[in-house]
Amino acid sequence: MTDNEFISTGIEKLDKLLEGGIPRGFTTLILGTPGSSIEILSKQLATVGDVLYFTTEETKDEVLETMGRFGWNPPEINFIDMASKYSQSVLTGEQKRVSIYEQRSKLKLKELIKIGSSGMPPTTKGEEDFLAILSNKIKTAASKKIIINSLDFFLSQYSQDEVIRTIHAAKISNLQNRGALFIIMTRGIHGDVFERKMEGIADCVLELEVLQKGSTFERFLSVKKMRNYAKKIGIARYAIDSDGFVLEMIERIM
Amino acid sequence: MDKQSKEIDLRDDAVCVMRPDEVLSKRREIAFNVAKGKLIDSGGKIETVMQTAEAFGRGLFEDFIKKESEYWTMEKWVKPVVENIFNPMGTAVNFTKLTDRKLKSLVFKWPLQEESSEADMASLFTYGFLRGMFLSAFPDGEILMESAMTKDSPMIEFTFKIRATDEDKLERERVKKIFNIDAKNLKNKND
Repeated sequence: MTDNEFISTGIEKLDKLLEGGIPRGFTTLILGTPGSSIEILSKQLATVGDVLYFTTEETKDEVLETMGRFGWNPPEINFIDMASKYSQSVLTGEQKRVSIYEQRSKLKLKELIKIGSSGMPPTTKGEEDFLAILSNKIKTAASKKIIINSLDFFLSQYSQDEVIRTIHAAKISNLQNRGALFIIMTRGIHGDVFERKMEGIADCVLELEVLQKGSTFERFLSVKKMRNYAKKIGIARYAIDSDGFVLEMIERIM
Repeated sequence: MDKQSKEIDLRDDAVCVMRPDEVLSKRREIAFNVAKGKLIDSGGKIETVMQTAEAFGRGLFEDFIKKESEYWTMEKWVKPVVENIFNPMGTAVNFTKLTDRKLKSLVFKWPLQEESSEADMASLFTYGFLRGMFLSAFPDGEILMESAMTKDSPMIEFTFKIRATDEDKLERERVKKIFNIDAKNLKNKND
C-alpha cells in the first residue's frame, strides 16, 4: 500500500503506530475520558490536511486560540461552529420571549382581548436541527479529513437511534469520498450497548485512558480496532507537552 | 396540591427502594465523574454538565425504558423509570399526578447526594439526566426544577410537563444560570 492510501493523523508517532496513518475511507472512533486530553488530540488531528471541523463545545475562536497556544498554524480548516450556533439559538429564543413581553406590556386591554390571548401569544419555533446540519455537511464535504468533536453534543439532544443512523450515513459518504472521518466521544456516559454499537460501526477505534498510579497519572493511547489490519493493534504511552501529543513507548499487541 | 391531584397507582403508592444495583450505580458514578471532569476541562462551562447528564439520561432511556412502550403516557413512563432506574440506583422518589400531562416528583433519598459533597453539581446533574430520560419519550415536554438539594438534604422537586409552554422551554437555561459551580474549586477538591 502506498502513502497515498493513508491519511496522516497530524501526529508523527501516531502515524507510525498506525503504520502510515488512517487508511482512506475509514471512520475512526476516538474514545476518551475527561483528563485524557482528548480535546487536544481532536485539535491536533486538524493540523494537517484539508479539514472540516465540527465543534460543539467550544467556539471556532476558542479552538483556534488553543491551537495558537501549541504553535499550530493549520493551513485549511473549514469550521462548522455548532457551539456558537447553539448559544445563538438559545439567546434568540430568550430574546424572542423578552420582546413578546415588551410588546404585550405596551398593548391595551382591548387589544389584548382582540388578539385572543389568554396566555402567551404564539411564537414561531425555529430551532436548528444540528443532526441534519451534520449529515448534510458531511454529505457535501469536499474535505478529505472530517472531525466531529464531539458526538456527546448530539447524544444529549437526539435519540441514540437517530444519531446512529446519521453516523451510518456519514460513514458511507466518507467511504465514497475516500477521506478520513474522526468521531470524538466520551467514554462512560452513553451506556455500554451504544459504545459497542459505535465500535462496531467504526473501522478504527482509538481509546485514550488515564490510569492513576500512586500520586502520578499515566496516559495510554490504544488502537483497539483496525479493520483488516489486525497487526496495527497496539498501545502507546503518551504525554502532553508544549507541542501537543507525544507518544512515548509503542507496544504492539499482535 | 391541585384539587385534581391523585397519587399514581404504583405498587400501592409506596416507594420501594431496593439495594442499589452495582452496575447501574457504577454507571451513574462514572457519568457524574465524567460531567465533573468535563466541567473542569472546559473551565467551568455549565453547559457541558447539562449535555453530559442529558446524554446519560438518554442512554438510560435507550437501555432500560424504551422497550416498555411504543406510545408514551405519563404512567407508562413513570413505571419503568421507578422500577428500572430509580430503585436499582437506590433513589427514593415520589411521583404525584397533577393532570394527565403534568406530574410532580419529589426525590427524598439519592445516593448521588450522599456520596458527593457537591450539592449544586448533584442537583444540576439530576436535572439533566431526568430531562434526557423524559424528553426521549416526550420531545415536546419539559421539566421544571422547583427546588434543589443541599449538602444536608437530598430533597429535590421537579414538575414534568408533556407539553411545554414557551416559558417552560427556557427552564433549562434558567437552571444553568442558577448554579454557579467554581471549576477550580471542584478541581482542587477532586485532586
